[in-house]
Amino acid sequence: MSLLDVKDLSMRFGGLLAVSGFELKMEAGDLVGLIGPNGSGKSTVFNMLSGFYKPTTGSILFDGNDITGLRPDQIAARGIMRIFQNGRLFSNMTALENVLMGHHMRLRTSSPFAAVFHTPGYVRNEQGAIEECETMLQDLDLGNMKHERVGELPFGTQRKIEVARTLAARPKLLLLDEPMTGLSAEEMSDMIDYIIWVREKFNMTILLVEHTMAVIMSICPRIAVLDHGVKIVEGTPSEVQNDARVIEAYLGVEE
Amino acid sequence: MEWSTVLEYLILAVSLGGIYALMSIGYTIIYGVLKLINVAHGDFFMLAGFLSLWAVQEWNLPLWPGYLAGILITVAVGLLVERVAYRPLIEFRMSAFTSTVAVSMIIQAVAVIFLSPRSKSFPRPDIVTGVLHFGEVSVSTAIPFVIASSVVLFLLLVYLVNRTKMGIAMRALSEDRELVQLMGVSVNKVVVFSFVLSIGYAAAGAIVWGQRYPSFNPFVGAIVGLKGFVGAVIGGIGSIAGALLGGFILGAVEIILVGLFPQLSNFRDIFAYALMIGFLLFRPGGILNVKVIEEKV
Amino acid sequence: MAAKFNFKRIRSLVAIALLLLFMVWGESNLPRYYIKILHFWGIYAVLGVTLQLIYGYTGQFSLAHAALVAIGAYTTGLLTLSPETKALSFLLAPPIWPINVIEWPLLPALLLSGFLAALVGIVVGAPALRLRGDYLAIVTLGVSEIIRLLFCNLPSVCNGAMGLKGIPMRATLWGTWLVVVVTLFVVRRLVDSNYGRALKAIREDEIAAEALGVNLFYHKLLAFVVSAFFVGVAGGLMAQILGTIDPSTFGQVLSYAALTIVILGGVRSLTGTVIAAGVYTISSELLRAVEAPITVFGLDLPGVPGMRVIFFGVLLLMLILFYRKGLFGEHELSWGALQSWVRSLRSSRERV
Repeated sequence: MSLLDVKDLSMRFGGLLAVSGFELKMEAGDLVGLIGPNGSGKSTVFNMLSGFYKPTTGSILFDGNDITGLRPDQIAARGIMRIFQNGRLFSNMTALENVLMGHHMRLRTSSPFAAVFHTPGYVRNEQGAIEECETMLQDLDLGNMKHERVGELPFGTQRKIEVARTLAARPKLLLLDEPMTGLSAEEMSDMIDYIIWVREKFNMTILLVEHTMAVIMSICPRIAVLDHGVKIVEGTPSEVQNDARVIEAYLGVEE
Repeated sequence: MEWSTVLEYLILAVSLGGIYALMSIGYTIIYGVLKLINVAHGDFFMLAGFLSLWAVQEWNLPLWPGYLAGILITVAVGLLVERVAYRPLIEFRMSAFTSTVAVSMIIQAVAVIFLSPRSKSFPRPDIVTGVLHFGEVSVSTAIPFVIASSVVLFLLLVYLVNRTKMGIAMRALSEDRELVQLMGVSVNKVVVFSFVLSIGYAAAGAIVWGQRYPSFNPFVGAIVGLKGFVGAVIGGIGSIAGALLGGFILGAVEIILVGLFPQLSNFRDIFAYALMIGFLLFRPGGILNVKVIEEKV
Repeated sequence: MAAKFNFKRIRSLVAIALLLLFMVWGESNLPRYYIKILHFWGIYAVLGVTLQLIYGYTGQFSLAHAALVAIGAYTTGLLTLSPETKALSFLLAPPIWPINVIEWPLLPALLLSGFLAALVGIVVGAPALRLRGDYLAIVTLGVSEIIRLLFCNLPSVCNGAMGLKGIPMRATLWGTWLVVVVTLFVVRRLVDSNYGRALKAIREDEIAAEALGVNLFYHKLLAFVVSAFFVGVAGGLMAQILGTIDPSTFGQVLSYAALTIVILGGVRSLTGTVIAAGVYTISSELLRAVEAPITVFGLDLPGVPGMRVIFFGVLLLMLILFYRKGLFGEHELSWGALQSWVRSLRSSRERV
């Protein structure tokens, strides 16, 4: 049984069919890239997978459970975490607080009463969470910035913190929505190294949407290509690179 | 119920609906252009009523110049408020909203102190104090005047919004702010025009209201303003057609409610609030299903 | 590290004890007028701190406070009035059961006030909190008004527009301020916990919060209901202090007052809010002296329009326009802050 099994997924907005018949299977540990020209429906697929859109038709099976149409927080609880295209950090909170927010879900079991009266269980959990998140920031060489407001940090650092934040939740599947957007060349290579490190260290399953072809080609063993809401090709980088349909989609039909 | 009574109620419904619609227009215009709910709108209505009253009774102006003075001064105040209290907060929606709340408080308090804490009688031409009879149907003579004024004002609005450059720019601004800015139109000028229109209609609404309900107190604006807002929500806030539709429907439903269940007349206001809450929760786009601002994921 | 922490704690506990002792002393030694002001300060402090939880921390603009205060006030009023007084003062319609026979001491009455307000908080919050920003504000305002109008129109429950008179004054200064301390404690603890982080996250970016597994509705409702409870209790205290209440006491001005206090004190600063509540209460009293005599309908009603309302309206406007951060910004009045302030005073004196 695959970790992620997406069948016949479609999204219709009024008269516009943004995505139709999308299918994808992912096993634990996979790193799959999702590419396509602007407006091909990549974000829509992501939003459906993470619960921000309710698919018009189709089903999403994750770890054996049907998660189609669930709320974003319910999907997160089941182990799917995502980052956002232009970054959605809590800019007025510190780096540590941001990463702790990733950890939040695992503290769900404590009740408000425990939080107010500082029961031993609550205090223990909170301490543990803080230590773990501090370690995660250390791993990123950001230990000294843990009490800095993230809004004031360089953009490349912010994106890495955003990824770290999702990791604090110990997800089973990570959806990375254009993590390279807005990064300099140096920051990009940094981020690529980080993604590869994350995958190796946690045996993380990753679905990566990117606009920069080169990035996807270099790190993803498997790639799916969307065009006008339809998956036209799925295969290895070289298969995709040489596929006529992909070239056509990106460059237009050759006269 | 006799048909004559039904007819009377229908006529009342139309007249009340017309006044509410005038107020709804004001809310919807400002919301469309600034995406702001102007809580103080009803208080401008009240201000106009009081100022006209004052102009006639204290400054001894004749009736119609007095009305005009009331309207003009109120619009001037509205422009001042826009410049000082709303425009600087354009970027901060919640702060702008709080600002309208503060302005509402201030206008009401100013009215209480400088105009009158108690109800005062609105000056009107004798002609509206009579009663008209059509066979078995009798209505106050103010009613035809109210209905006629409302119709004229609506027609004027339709003309201004569809045929004048400013009006079209106003509609464009409420659809797509960025585009209008790119087109080189002075957004501030359009906003000023919108305010003149919005506050002007509230003020005109006060004059019209005063013919039928000649009693103004500092808090009447809050109630009529609320009804206007509810009307705008019902029709679809941001849409002028929606405002007309919603205002009318609210006025009509209110009259019908009181007509059918006179014992519930105390619950008129509760009903309006409940209707508003119901729409905001289940159909925020109103009857015309206007597009509501959604944050992009 | 542990020793330092305990020392801070002890200092705070000592400060609280001193505060409460002062209130006990004040009860018997201060003039009636000052006692009333101190009561109001406490009540408005609770209104402010609870609104901070909803608005400052969770970012939900609620104008429901007025209605919740009304619920608390009426509950306590009806419970603490003797059956005989009620039978006499319900002129429009006789009080229904159990109101006509019930009579409770203050503490249970206050607790029930809190619970009923919390219940209403759930009823109001459940639909309203699904909305954003100004729509939420309008809906809470609408519900507030509906509740107030209902109070006007239910003569057998609360004597309609005539209200309640002669509510026995059993609240003590230290009792009121104990409520303030407890409210501060609960809100502070909540805000510093993982719940507080979630609330702040909701304020910052709901979408991101949701993607991290935060159930938006549950957290917003939590903040709302916890606040509502304490607002209800504060309402009960208000009934005690005023002795006479009617629906007009709980107009929108009450919600706006809480909002002004929150912004004045500094969004998210709890100690700032308490101090702002003091500023508000005291300046209200000072302004009363300036108020033109014709405009005062009833001296004890906090919602009386007039000079004070202009002042606070203008104040709110100024704050919003120029000084959105308020007196304290996001900082708390803490021992550390006091120490460094004292130190800076000393060093400036030395320089001279």
